[in-house]
Amino acid sequence: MSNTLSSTYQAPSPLKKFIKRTLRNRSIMVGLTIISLIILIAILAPILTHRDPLAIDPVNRLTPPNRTYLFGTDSLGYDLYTRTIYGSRISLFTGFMVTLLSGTMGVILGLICGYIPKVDAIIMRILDGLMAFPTILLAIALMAVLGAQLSNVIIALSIVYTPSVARVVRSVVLTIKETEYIEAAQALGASSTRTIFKHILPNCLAPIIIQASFIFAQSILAEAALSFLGVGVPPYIPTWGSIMTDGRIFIRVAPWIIFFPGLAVMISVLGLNLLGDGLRDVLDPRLKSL
Amino acid sequence: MTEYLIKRLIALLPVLLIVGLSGFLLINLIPGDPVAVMLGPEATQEDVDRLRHEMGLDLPLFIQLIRWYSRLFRGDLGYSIFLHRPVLQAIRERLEPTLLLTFMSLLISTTLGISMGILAAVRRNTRIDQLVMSLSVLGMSIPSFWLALIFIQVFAVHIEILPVAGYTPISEGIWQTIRSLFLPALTLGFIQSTFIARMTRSSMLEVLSQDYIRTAKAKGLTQRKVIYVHALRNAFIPIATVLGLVLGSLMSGAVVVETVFALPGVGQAVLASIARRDYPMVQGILLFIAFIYVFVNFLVDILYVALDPRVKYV
Repeated sequence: MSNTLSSTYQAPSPLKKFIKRTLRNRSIMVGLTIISLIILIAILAPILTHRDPLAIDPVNRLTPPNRTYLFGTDSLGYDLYTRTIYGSRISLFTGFMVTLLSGTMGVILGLICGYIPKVDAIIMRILDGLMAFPTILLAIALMAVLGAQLSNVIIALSIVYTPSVARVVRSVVLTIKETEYIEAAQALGASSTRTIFKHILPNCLAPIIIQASFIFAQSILAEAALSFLGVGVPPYIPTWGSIMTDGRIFIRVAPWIIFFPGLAVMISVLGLNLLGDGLRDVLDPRLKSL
Repeated sequence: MTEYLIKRLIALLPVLLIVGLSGFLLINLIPGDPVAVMLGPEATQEDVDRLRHEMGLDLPLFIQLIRWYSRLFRGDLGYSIFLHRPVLQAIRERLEPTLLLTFMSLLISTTLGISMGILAAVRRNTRIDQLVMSLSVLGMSIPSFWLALIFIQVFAVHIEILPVAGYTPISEGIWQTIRSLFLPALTLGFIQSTFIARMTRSSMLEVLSQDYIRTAKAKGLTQRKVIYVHALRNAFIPIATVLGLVLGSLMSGAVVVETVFALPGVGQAVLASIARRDYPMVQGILLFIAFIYVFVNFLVDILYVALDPRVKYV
């Protein structure tokens, strides 16, 4: 009897369990749906609008939303609908690049700090120093030095978000390093490189993924704020932030300039935050109450 | 406690040194010649040389760094050639609206956030809890200037009960000042309150599951007393630690919101200085705010120990 039981019963694989829990998590599913829609809009931009995001219509400046100009026009006569649609491309790209760069730098620094105590103190002090600046303000200062360009926005925001990733990775490494299986791996003669990449890094993956989804969201918001303030992406490149630059001056006469692109920012950031929240529940049940 | 204070103060030193170094690097990172950039294309070589000498930028880098630190130590943040006055004085002139805005938004965000958090925790898994949690995700996703726009449209354009923009200084009456800062403070306060609500909720939930809460309930205390006297006091400790973070976000957010509402504060001064390429001013404001931020977080750490006798002085 026990023989048949053991042969038929198979524990569900961790991957299967993970997928099952992911599919059941409402937060993740809503978040993924929103993000997929935004990505779809970014890909299908030329189909969704027949206008050129760089074309201006000087006759129809500051036109409120109507049938021809769904989201209205700004003070130069740019069609805001077209620019919001195309803006999704560069805004998503910026967010993605910032996440990738700050993630990579953060993981490298975090691993070094967690693994080599001698370097730890120095790097952590520098990161503490960076974290002493409120994020947007640091980004603004970096942009003042680097100059208003798309690539500089990516660089500045990557620098701003690196410390938070490094801290998370470092704290996980410090915990895992003390566990018995790492000791066992080292006792069996595993090299440092092998221990780090084979045993420690995979365990950092969950917090990194959670952190990444929040950084993606934060960097889209930050890019929008920087460009809105005129120190981010220059207005001729359409991002959700840069197309609103005008809206600051015309906030009372033409509120639609900020309304629609801002809504696009909010919806996509909401999608990413929901995804992050859900992932945290699924990947790290200990943090569920947070 | 004294020993802990001294230890914390010593730990503060490297952070302050690095903050100072970042400020120093900022000017040296500018591609090309910062002095030529500051003076613009019409400046003659003589002008550039003279200003460079005045700013001490013709000295060796190491000497410059020493001079920089010694100036910082004396509380000298440099001189703005555009505003014709010391940077610190220029900042002081702009400080009133920013400080009041930060204070008002902190007040709004903590009151709103803590009450929403308690409500969600006490009514766990009800509609109210869901509403608070949804609001909190939404709050994390709203661009501050977008929310400001909505508030302006509703309260200033449609019902016309609050001014659209502008600032009334405190010298012209405190109520007018509060009126002029209400919408900007509400914008920042609401966004940050969602973060505090989350923290309060999770912290309260943890405390409410403790044995001593059950004891308190068992001995017949009213729910009100259990929540406000026994639970909240303990839940407040983790909440206090995020207040430092919140303050940083508020000061960052102030830059954006000041621009939208045309408040003549420090945030607007940063942006104006960037446009003028007034680097000493940008550098000075950045350092000024970073120092406040570090100091507040230091106070929060001290508060943490003062609030919770269980925390060891490490």
